[in-house]
Amino acid sequence: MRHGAQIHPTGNPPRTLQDLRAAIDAITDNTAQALAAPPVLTGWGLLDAAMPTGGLARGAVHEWFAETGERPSSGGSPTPLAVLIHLARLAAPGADLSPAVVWIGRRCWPYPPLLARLGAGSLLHRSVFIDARDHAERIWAIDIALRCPGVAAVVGDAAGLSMAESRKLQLAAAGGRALGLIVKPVREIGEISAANTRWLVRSEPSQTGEPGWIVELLRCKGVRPMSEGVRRITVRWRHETGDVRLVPDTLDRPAEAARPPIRIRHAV
Amino acid sequence: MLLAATKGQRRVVARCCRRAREAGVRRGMPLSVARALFRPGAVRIEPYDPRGDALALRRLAAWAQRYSPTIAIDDPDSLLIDISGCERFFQGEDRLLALVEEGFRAIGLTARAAVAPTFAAAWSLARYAPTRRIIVPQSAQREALSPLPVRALRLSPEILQSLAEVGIERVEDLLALSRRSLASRFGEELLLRLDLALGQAIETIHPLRLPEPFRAERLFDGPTTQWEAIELTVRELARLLCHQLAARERGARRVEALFLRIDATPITIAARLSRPSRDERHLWSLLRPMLERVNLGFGIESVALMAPHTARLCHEQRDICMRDPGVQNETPHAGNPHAGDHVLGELLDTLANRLGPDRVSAAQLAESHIPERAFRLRTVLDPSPEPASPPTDAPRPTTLLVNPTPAEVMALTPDGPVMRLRWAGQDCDVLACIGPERIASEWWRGERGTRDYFRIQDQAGRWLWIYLERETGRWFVHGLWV
Repeated sequence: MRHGAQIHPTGNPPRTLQDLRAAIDAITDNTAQALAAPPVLTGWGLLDAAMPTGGLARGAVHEWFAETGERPSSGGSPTPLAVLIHLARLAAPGADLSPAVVWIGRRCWPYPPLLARLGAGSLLHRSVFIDARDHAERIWAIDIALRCPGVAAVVGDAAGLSMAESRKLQLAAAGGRALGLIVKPVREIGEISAANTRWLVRSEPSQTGEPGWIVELLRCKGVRPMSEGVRRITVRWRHETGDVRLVPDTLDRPAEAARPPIRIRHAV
Repeated sequence: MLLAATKGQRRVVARCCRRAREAGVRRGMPLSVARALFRPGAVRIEPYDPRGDALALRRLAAWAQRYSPTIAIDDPDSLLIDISGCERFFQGEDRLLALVEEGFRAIGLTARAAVAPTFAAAWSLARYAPTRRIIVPQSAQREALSPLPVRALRLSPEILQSLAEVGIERVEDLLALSRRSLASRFGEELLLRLDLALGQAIETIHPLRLPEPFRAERLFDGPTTQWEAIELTVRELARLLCHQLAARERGARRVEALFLRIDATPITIAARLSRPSRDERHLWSLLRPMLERVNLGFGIESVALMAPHTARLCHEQRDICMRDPGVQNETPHAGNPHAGDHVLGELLDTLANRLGPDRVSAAQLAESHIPERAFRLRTVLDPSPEPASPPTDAPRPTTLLVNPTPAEVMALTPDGPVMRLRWAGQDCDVLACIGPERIASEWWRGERGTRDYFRIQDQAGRWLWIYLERETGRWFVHGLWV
């Protein structure tokens, strides 16, 4: 336990696994975030339990990639808007004008009438749509929106984000209470960034009339890589409510082998 | 043109223009009778809005302050302007009168103006004098008033009636009679009106008092090009302006800074706010980026900070522990329920002033079933609440393409289920096709074109929203579920 004596700040060696975990958390400052604001529960079963905060942490940045298995239609890869709308609604419940949801970048703008019908509190009155002229302005807008205490969720287009910028965004998010969801094109999936979690959304054929996707948690800070059964789930979009619900496993499961696996190349 | 008011159940004419009066329209006449006097389409009828007219008259009085500082409003349609002392500035009374008439004509109003030693005389002459522009000196007052009818003296209807019975029609007839007989026959009011008109009694008016504009300015000792001095000055002016706003419980919606430059034209920078604010820190954060782009030229002589557009902003309770600007994670207005709105407003102001107001917008539902017109984007700096229309229940995609992309479709029947789709250089096999949902064009606008919308799933599992234009038989991709 000599190592323990060196790690722990007060000098008492940790006795149990709990103490050790608390010591590590004190160094890496994870609990401070968890206590600040309740996390956003995605409602997707085991994924919530697998993440250290029990859901998507507020005051942090989460990266999203989307891929359809086809060549993208017109310049740039698609954005997983259905999932993002669902998460934004969970992050900003209530019917008041604030907290607000900020959508930055034309690629991240959902179809507005859809926001008006979702669930109990309409997102439309609380949504602000921002169109920036270039990359620098977009990152600046995401930065100050993340810092604002009156904002519940920020959905931003962060294509071409450098490591330094992603660290700055993570710090900005830590200074506020917003759920940061940034979207990057799938060709940047190999780049290292300072985001809290990293997700990939792929479209999936479904037998019912509703669109379906496979959502996969690629990376989560502070957690060992999970098994496939836990980190990859199938979800469906419900037209009337705009929810993205987990599909029970017993239903349709198309053949996985037919799809080419994604190769992740890490930047060296 | 006629102004119509509703009296009881009927609509009557409240006011009419000169041409209508010549054609025989009178006040109080039923509207249908009045309309029958003209051929259809020749008369324009507007609702009579006395309150709006009064407000407009007030604004006109504020505008007319360029001629004199003392102006009173005389309902419903006249202004009494005290020009004692002002004629020297305008180089003569006749020149002032000419300017007044020209000024009113330039803003589209016909005015009848008269200058006289007393207000009552001026009132009478402006209305009833035969010639247009009248300037009456003190000596000629009696003669100028004499030919006017007795109505010009602003008498009550009973007195006018009794004068008409006796046969007195003009003021000169009244002046010919002795004062005692007038008083005994018609009462004191008649004498008072005569005295007011002739200058033997003093008439007081209540001039309009406009609120002081919000303005703070500083003059430098000489022209300066030092940034630090100018920055410090603007910050101090912001603090003074916020004090002025706080004293009258208002917040600024627009702030302008005017820089007078030596040997160059003045420069103005302006910041717009989405919510009224009198927080000097916030105003400074909006003005500062613009300040850095100001071209100082040869030097700045004075700086003035104004708030031309303000709104009511009530005082509110601040927190017991004041915010410490050094700490980063503090939420400044933690206990205040309106706090979230304040900080959000500040965020929107910062974004809108840097990116441009049309790039920061909020969306509203519009009354249209055409998908691309079912919503409207409006800048956050002009919030105008519109009546909410209920959204449609039919399935809608998460993203709509800005322009519908043409597609080639292979289908079983020309308007039937789709088998293969080719768009934007991709071939798709269609796994499922749900529809049609028919959306007709807005025929009341004269548009044509019915669309049959289908939801199709391609072999990768992606859902597309496509439509067939029935008139032309062409297919388009309009949206996706991503």
